[in-house]
Amino acid sequence: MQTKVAIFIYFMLSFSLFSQEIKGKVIDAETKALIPYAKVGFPSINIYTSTDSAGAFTFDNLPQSHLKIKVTAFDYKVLIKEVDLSSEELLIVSLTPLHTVFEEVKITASEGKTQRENITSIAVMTKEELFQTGATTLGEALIQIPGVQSSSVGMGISKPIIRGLSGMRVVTYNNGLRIENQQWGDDHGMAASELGLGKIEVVKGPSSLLYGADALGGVIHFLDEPYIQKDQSEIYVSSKFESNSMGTTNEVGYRVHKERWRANIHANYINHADFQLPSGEFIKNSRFWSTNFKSSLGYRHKNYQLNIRYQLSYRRLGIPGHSHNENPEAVDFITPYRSRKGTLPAQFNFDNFILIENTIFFNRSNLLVEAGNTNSDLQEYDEKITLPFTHLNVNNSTYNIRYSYKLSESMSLKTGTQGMIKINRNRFPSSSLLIPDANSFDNGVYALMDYEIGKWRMQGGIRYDMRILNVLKSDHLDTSLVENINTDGLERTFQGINYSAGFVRNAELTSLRFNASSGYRSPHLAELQADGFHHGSLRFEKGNQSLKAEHAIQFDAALELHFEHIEFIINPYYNRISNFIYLNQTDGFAGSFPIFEYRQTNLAHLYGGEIGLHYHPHNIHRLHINTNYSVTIAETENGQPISLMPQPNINTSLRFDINNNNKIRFKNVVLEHIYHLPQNRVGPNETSSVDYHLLNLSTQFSIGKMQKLSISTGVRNILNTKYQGHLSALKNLGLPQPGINVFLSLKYLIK
Amino acid sequence: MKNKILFVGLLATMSVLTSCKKCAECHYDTPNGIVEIGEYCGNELEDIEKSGYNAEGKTYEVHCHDH
Repeated sequence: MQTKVAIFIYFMLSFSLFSQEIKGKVIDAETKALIPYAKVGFPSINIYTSTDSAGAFTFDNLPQSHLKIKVTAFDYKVLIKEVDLSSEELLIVSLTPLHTVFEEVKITASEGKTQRENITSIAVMTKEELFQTGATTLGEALIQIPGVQSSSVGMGISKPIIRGLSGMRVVTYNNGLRIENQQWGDDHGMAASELGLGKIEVVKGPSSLLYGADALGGVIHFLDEPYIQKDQSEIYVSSKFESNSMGTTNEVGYRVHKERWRANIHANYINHADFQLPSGEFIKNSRFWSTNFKSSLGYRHKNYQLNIRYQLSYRRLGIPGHSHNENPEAVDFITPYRSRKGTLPAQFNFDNFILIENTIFFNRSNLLVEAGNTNSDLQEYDEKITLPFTHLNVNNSTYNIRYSYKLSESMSLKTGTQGMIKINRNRFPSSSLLIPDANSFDNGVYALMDYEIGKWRMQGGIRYDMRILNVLKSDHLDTSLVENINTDGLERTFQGINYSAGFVRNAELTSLRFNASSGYRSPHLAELQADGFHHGSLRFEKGNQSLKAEHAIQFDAALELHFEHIEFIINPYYNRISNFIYLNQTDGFAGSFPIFEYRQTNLAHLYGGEIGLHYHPHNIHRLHINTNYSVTIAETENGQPISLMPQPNINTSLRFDINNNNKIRFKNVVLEHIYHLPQNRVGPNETSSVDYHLLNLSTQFSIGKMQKLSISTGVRNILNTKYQGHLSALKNLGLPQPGINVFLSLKYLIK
Repeated sequence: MKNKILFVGLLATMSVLTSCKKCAECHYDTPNGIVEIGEYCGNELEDIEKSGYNAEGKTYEVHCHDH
């Protein structure tokens, strides 16, 4: 035993004793002049600094490891390169002058590479980019990412859709923590907030290799704002007002970095009354409020890094589209008066997420050990004030161990194991169970190899997963509680072997990428056990205990052209899903509600792609014209269109960067045009949707030389267009989406 | 300073001790339509939502709304 302890102590000391101070300079590659105030950092350990007036920088206590350094300076090309900190003590970084500046180069957390180097299709967008035209909610902002859309129930509830797939087929991660929050329900929104958000990464297509089961459509990864630079602190308050729903968002935040410790703390309160239609009337009970708290505590010393992240959210979401009339009409859901008073039906969501992540850096490798827990509590109140219609709780404990090793200068290996224990429980008192109590255990192991030679980068990996699902019997409960579910117990084991293989070739002007990846999803409790009236969907649903797991294979290719003033990308894909689970309407009725059965079709084909263009006119350097087109076509093996596919869309933005040096400093002016094309490829009993245009305008500016007060203002839906989104639940009731919305957002840096 | 702390403490105590009494208009459904049964508050509201409403020798499930 003593020997083991001695070995452990030696092991711990062996990596903590070796670390060093790194000094460096940033110079102009052509003139060799020193570049002052350049930003220098190591994104993987969240450490940044700036060069001084002589272009010099210093870091201390860095791990003796291979890390990517990122250097940015105004009018220079962003530099990202790997450095071996064990052998370098004086870093001379040369930046190439640039006359035209495209968007900032970002490193993705998923692969640790720049976007051009990624083999899988990953889109990255910062919070600033997502909200630059004043989107009210995160769901509304997501549509700016090519290939991503969102479905909604009013304004408060939204779900992400990646290349046509959503719900249980899209996995949400929050800083490496997998989020489980009853996302199977059409009216159960995503448990994410823009509070303290840094950026969003979207992995498009099956991604089981690094993310485990269920990610057939893709993964949406929310990443926190980075820590502040060393020996600095910041306190801010911000407030946003929106005219359409008389909505307010008030936020406070504190960031600090002292010695080895750093912390981010944020809190906000959001309150929206009923939203206003283009006609001037309001949608009843579309009101919502929420309060969120997010904190990150980090410790970094030499070769060790610790992050503890905690997030709490409490939301009250009104559910619009409720009426006592037997044959309701659109007019039943509309009112001439606006209100924010809490009324029914409504959802109460209470989420707690915690993640502890440890990273140990070795010379040629690093070890990540993560443990997390998410608890999501959902109460739905329907027609009783003191008794919820249903009360669900899901508790998910996760682990993630990943070892990344650099085998040689051109070859690296990632291997790891992931798992989770998910416990679904119904809470009482409540009126009805929508899903039975159940436990599920997931475990998976994987290995991923990366090889680089010249302009080529190749990657291949394999993963094995197993899920044990244990549905508990519920026949001992009162019959009135279980009239909507199958009360029989069930034990099933699902297994999946998945892979990913691909390459990217990066030349100066072109990038060519191809990837084949697979994923699997075991059927959800609702699909297996439903047997009754489903609240929120107005239908009788029958599950099927013998459903098999879905398997998907996606082929994804991309060609990018990068010229001095223009960039072009085309990214087609084909996603083939076997054992695709869908709801089929039968001829039967239960009372006045149609009966739907969960069925499987042998094959579903989803195909489409994204095309993007970024133009930067030679003689108007400050102007950026961005446009992208996204389309998804989905059909069964018989050519029958699959329901609830998003409308194709073309998003175009004109951004004019100003950056004047006056007391009022305008950052930019943005004009955004979103065109949703008609959706005529619809499933059985689904109605088609017509096209519509939305126009948004915004500007960002700051006041004062210290830029302590920054202001963002603008107008969304300038033309007050009356439109019904194809994936809005209100469309089925004949209700349009919000009309014109003027917003004003202020952020004041107290310190 | 002492007075300020006392005042804040008093406010906090009042806010904790003063609870909102929930009231709602309730009804039950019959084959002949909806029957309104008036406003219920607090414990009475909780009881009637839990136990239902007795009429003509039958217990009906009660639905309550604050709108």
